[in-house]
Amino acid sequence: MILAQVVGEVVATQKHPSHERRKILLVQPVDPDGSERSDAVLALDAVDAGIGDRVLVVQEGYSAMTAAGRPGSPIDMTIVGVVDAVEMTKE
Amino acid sequence: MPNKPAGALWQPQPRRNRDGDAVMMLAHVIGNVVSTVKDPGLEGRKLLLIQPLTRDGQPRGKPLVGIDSIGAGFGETVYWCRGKEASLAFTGEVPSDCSIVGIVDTITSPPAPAAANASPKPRAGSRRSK
Repeated sequence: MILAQVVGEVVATQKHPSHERRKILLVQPVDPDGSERSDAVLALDAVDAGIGDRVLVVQEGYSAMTAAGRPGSPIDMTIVGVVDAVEMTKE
Repeated sequence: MPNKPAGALWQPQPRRNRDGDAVMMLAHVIGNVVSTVKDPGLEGRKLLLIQPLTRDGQPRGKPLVGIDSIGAGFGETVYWCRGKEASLAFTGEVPSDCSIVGIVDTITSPPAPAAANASPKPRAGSRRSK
């Protein structure tokens, strides 16, 4: 699982039937301190997250599709939690 | 993207699109691929050449070939899925590790600073000069 920041919403009319009635969000993976890393990717939303939220994203196919409630469908990223806070010990 | 000093706890991710790295990304359809001799599972499937994009629409990484599952075509912005899940976009056995699963109509994305309670600035502790 990774931490990410929701940075956008994607609208797609023509899409795989298993993606219907699920929000598709553009998420930017972030480090625990909030700085960006790697590229923004798309994730299906299972927890009603929105733009600006820090979220928890699963990247593994089976977990992603079951979390989205669509087993056996082409989903490989799903938002499974909204992060309230990240606590870290100092280095 | 900030470059982390060597030995840092978090290494930057590779920029190339690899399994487990970039998944479900935006892409631009930049071409068709025609293949006559192919796996029977690929028969009747449209093969498209796609260029992965960053969130602001800039090309990122190398183009790759994806199998179309929804009727996308040249010039469209799509999103795609990779790995084993890609073959689940089809009924039957389709050997795919990159499938196009949606055509993007619009992307609503506020400008970067507004979206962030996280700052997009270089992280504290990274060396700016020297």
